[in-house]
Amino acid sequence: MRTQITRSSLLPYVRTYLNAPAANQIWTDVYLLQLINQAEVWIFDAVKTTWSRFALGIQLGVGTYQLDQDVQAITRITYRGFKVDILSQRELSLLSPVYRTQQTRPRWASWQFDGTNTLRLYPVPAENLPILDTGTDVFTDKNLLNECIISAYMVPDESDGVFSLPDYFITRAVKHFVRWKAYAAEGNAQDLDVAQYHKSKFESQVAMIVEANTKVYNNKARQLADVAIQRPWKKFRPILPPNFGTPVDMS
Amino acid sequence: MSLNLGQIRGRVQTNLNDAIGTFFDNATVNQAIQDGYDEVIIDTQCAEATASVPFTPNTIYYDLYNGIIPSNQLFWRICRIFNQNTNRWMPCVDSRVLDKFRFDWEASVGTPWFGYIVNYQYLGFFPHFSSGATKSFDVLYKIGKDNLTVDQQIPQIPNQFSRILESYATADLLEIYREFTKAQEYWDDYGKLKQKLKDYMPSRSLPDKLWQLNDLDWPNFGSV
Repeated sequence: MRTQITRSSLLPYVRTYLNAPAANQIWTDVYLLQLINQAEVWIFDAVKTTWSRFALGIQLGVGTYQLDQDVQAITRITYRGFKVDILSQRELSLLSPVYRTQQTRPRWASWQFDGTNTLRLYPVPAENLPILDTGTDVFTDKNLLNECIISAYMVPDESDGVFSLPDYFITRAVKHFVRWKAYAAEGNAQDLDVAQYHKSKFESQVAMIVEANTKVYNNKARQLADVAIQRPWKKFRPILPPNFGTPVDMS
Repeated sequence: MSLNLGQIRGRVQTNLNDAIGTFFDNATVNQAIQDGYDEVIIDTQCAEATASVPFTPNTIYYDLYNGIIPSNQLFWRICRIFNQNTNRWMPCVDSRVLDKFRFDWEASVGTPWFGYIVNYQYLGFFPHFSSGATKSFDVLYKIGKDNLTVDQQIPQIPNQFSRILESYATADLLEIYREFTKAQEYWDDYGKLKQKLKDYMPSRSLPDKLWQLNDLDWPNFGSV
């Protein structure tokens, strides 16, 4: 198991780069920790990296469910192993005018208009499906057929002690973000030129993270094993008759 | 000559005229070298490794970032996957492709034929083993972070680019004292070396083709 970088462990590191190594020197530790926490949120504005799965406790006759505020983008919902497609409320109403009350097994969902991070299932579940396990079993098929499971990209929680981003993105980006904000803050150490310099450095770090995250998905690269796939992207080219394209005098 | 961590640190301290650590202690210089190493690895994809991961019964998603690499290296991205049970390379497809196979593909059990890269951390399989997996799968991957822990450790950077970490760390440390003009000279050197390394990495396995193309210019062939 890897050792995650904790937020507090970066405080001496950024103090070294601010050339203010003592505790509360120039900037308070509380302020610098706040900046360390904010850095990750700024990075997440540009890129989705953290993905997770969790079970949703289903109650008989209840159509709407409040999701955690950390959910950024849902990639998949399964109900007892079957995929639940996400539609707009308009599409749901076209499917069924009674979509808010009809009860059976959910096949569709909507993440719209019912409140912030409120998910509506249609049809409304006609059974209870409690959360069976909150551990890593959600990544296996142990409870797949007996739970409603949501896969989603998540945003970082500032109150979490460790970073959500992988370790290899953290230190350099945080270093420049903290120096940008600290030098831009009102006070004796304010230096807007230096702040601007580190802002540009931070932005280039974020661009690098976005590019590195894109490289993770190499699935479009053609591989030898592609022969096993049906190749849905292959476009067939029919042989056209020799007179195809010849102008016809319609007069 | 391959430089280890201790030798690179010595060169950085010489550049800074700080051999006895008046301004920067060893830990600070090491951290600057590590930062540079992290950036070079990510930007040039120069660090690679292979791991053999046992199939776990009933597991759909494998946590490669936390799971597969026992040492001080961190997983970043997959290059290839080889299933030892079938002796086949496994293609990686998008989840939308898997949805076309079966909309309940996560529940499908059998010999894995496809991989689904979720993010830097998770790899899914379709189908997945419920039992009977006697062998593992091999992952050929790029490393995202290679922790330099002892002075004798040699960074995974080709020899001709070994100066790159020295330049990064020197520039990075000069900026602490706001010596931006002095730092810029080292940043320029670092940037040039990094670009050369970026160009070198994908081309290093193509020497034969380059040689063949050069053959066309051989005088005996006349004009081609």
